[in-house]
Amino acid sequence: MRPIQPDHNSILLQALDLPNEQKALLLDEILQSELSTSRENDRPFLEKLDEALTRLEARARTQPGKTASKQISDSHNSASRHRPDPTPAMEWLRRHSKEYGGQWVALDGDRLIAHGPDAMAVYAAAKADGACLPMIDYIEPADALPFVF
Amino acid sequence: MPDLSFDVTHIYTSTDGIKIPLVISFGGKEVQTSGYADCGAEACIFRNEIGQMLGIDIEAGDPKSFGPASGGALETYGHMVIIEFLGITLESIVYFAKYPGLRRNLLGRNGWLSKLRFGLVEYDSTVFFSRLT
Repeated sequence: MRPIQPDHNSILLQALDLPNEQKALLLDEILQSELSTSRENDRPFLEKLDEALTRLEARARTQPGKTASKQISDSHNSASRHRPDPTPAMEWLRRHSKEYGGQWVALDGDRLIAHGPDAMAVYAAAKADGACLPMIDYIEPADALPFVF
Repeated sequence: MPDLSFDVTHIYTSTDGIKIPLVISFGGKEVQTSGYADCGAEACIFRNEIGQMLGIDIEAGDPKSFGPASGGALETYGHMVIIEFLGITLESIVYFAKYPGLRRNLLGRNGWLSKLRFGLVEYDSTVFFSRLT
């Protein structure tokens, strides 16, 4: 019998909506699946993604009592997770502050993803771009008075 | 002479303050942005827009008004978040501005400095950090 083809768009959207920890788990599932048998390499990627998502959901169902404090505790370990190096973005902000004063910018390293006065529009563009944890920052206008809170 | 040691050294390149790259997380969402170290600020105060990006119901938080040096009042709402910067992770209350338009995110005493050993050599644009355990 021919297996039912998964709806590719919905699978990808499901995967993109996952929190970063779950994305990391998902990637791990896929990698394990890739490594387990050589036949896996012949299967379409989205089919494997769908299966990995199903396994993640099943795992979540068997661990229903995850409390807020556990989530905080998990987050404490997040420093060990991969984080993009902020240095190129910080350097970009320093170099381009005069050009983009008064705007929000989204950066993937030193690549400008989006800019504009509307913070949420810039954030949405950064999400749509798919960059890993882009730098979202507001650049003060070049003629702003020196800051004292 | 006191003998201080630190885990992290950071050279800041910003000329308008001590700008620190950070990741702020809430409820599984995270945003990479920056904040300015501010020893004169009583608490950590972030832009309203950052709270929105994190999906926070800002006005459901702990209300608190701050008095800027220029007078008046800045209305904010406190929420427990995770702040990661330069390899250090802290669970802290951050106060988000009620309204958009705050110029900067401020890393102040409560919620940030109070959890750190902090050194500054402005002449060398260098800050030093260790997390207090």
